[in-house]
Amino acid sequence: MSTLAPRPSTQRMRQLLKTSCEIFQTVFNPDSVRTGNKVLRRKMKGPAVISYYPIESPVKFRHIRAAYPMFEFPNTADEHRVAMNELYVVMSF
Amino acid sequence: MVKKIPTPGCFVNTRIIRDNFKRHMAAEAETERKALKYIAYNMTVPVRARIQAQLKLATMPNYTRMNQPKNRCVVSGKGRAVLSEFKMSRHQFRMAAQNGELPGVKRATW
Repeated sequence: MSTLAPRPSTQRMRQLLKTSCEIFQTVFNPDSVRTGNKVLRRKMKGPAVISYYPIESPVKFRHIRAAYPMFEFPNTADEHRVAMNELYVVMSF
Repeated sequence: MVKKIPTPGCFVNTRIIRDNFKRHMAAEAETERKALKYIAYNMTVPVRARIQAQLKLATMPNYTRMNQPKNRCVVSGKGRAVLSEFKMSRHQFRMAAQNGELPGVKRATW
């Protein structure tokens, strides 16, 4: 038959918890006081939000065309547009 | 000196410019807003400071809030029915998918 040992006081238990937290590097908050740490814990999403739209390329098609005048760089979309417009001109006569 | 926000490289229209502006402003103010929110929520801080933080948070301009930016279609500028995986609205997605421009996307059958 074991006799029940006297339970330590609440104060003593708190001290124990405090030292334990110091040793294991955890936060000491036995009364669950709202410190607002949950706000700080959240990740920052600024850079992810900014990077949604792609950055405008500093080099444009006309720059490449101007830099290498000996080469032909066909602008297919524009040529198609011009061809379609010419068709309209032809059709209107 | 007013800092210039870079123009997007995709399709550009007024709504996209506005959304881009909001994104940059929200990202800029994120740290400040976070700090203010922390103060407002912290019960160990004196009440007066908490109230002041809450007020400052409420009076900050709307474009500094993180919930203001909206994912818009990068090809058409549409704000609705945008699939975030492709950054395109449903019709643009459909056109691109049928042209084979989206890797690994095919008609669903099972």
